[in-house]
Amino acid sequence: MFKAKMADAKFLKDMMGAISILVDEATFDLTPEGIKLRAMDPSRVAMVDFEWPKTVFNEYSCSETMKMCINISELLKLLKRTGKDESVELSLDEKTGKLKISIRGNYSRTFNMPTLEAMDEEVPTPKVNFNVSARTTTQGLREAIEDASLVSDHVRIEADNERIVMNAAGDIMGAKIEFKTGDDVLLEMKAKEASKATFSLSYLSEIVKASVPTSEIVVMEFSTDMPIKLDFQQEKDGKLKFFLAPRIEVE
Amino acid sequence: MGVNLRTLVSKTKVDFKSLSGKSVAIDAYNALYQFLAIIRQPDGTPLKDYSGRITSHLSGLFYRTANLVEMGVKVAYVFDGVPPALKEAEIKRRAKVKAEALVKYEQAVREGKMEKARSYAQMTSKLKDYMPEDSKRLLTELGVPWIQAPSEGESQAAYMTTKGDADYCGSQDYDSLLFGATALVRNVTVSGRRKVPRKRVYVEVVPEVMKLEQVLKELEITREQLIDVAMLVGTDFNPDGVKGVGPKTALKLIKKHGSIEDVLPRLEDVEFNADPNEIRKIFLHPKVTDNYQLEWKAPNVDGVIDFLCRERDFSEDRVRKALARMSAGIKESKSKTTLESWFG
Repeated sequence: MFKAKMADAKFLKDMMGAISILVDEATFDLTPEGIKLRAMDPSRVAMVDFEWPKTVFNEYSCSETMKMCINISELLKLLKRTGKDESVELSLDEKTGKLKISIRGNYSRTFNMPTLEAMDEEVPTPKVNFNVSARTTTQGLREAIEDASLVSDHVRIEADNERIVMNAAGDIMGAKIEFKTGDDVLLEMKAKEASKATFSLSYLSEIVKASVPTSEIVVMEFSTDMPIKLDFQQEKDGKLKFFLAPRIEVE
Repeated sequence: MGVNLRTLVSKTKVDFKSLSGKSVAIDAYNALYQFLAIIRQPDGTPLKDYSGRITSHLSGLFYRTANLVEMGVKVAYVFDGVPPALKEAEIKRRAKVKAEALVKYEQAVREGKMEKARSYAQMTSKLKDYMPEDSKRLLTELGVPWIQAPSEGESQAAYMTTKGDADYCGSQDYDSLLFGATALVRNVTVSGRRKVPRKRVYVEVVPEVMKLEQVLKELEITREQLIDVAMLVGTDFNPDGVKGVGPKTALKLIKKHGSIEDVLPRLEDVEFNADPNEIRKIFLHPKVTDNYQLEWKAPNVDGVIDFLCRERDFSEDRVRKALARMSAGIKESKSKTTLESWFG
């Protein structure tokens, strides 16, 4: 038996929106303690690591550990029409294999959608020793990435103890974006050693843009030519982290 | 042809993106036959150059390979060597089917029935000696590795997956699984839109992945037993199988009795004109070689243009565009990494 109720349907919509950036068919682990998901996009360039302990929900009950696979874009379609101050309740009918989504506001409606065959695959966490750790505002990072996207499809991120520099070099134009300690966007900065790595802007911008509604502060960790970790700090309990593999610059 | 295990094997439809960075050893003859069958004019005439030589196989091989490389798929082609002696009956049977189709094709053309003509023409597809030679030359110019198998291309490709040199065996036939391919991907060489035979309907064709381990787990049998199932249904080495026994019955019988030797005596009026052990040997211990190198290079643009455009009358504009996309794809795959590199 699985049933979970959340007073703010928008929060569910925003979180599913962030996950949907990488995953189409999402397999969630439902446990008595909460729900979680770890999955990669089909190209295996990026990973989302999501967890909501039961304390995030207003009501939560799950009798045993099980997997539930759903088509996230279909779910988002249903959630898209939820308004302010509406609550949502998810419940899984194990007999029919359908997920019931009840939304209550000025009136109530109940949708149901099929669950799919769950993937057995366990996705490990990338093993990386991060040399740089920076806390920035999520909105600030989003703006910087939008700026870089104006001129190129990838960006080189460099950092030392005082600053983060993003360099985007396009075919004809270039951009340099700087966050310095003391700037409003850069809240904290630590670097064991100066590091730089290049990432695809299409992934970065989609991930950050979709995470903005769920999180105000992001902790960004990386090392030279290693994957970057973006840990979108959650107001309540719960986590939303992304890993993104680097691009190796070749001549 | 290959054995009909379609109904038994569960497959996962995948995005081409998920094949990016992966190596696929493609059964070259299997792919070439498909190009020859599909790439034809509406009346069934294959593509030809000005001197009348067929070029359907080159067209398919070139554009398909360019697309795959552009998407970051590391393709290698494995060519057939000498078929196992036991395949003779099947080879004769296929020749007969083709000869009959040719008669029907000519009749359909005389009667002006274009659609019928086309479908019969597809069945006449014959791989002429110059076609594999053409194909190898093209692949060399494209910088795409090809391997000469001592016997069946499919078994060599399967062997390469067991050695870890290829991530997938690429073929339309399920035989690859019998040969022990750890993973099989279908539809890599025919993706896109495909016409449903004898209907004016098109379906979207996407790659399908099958993993041997998973197939065996689901069917609850061993690979040896899967081969026995195939023998009951009919393989390239005993095309007739056992009359009236389809894949589902065969599976049931093998699961109940264990092996084909235990099944046959329990069936009434069976005719099984083959030695199961001989066929088993072909699947379990095929003739394969370790003498190959998988090395991907940049395409030799001038060489490709000379061959396809000067000798075989391809459109230079289209060929150059495809080569440019291919080179961009190679550059992109060199800079791209996946998270798998950090899973340790």
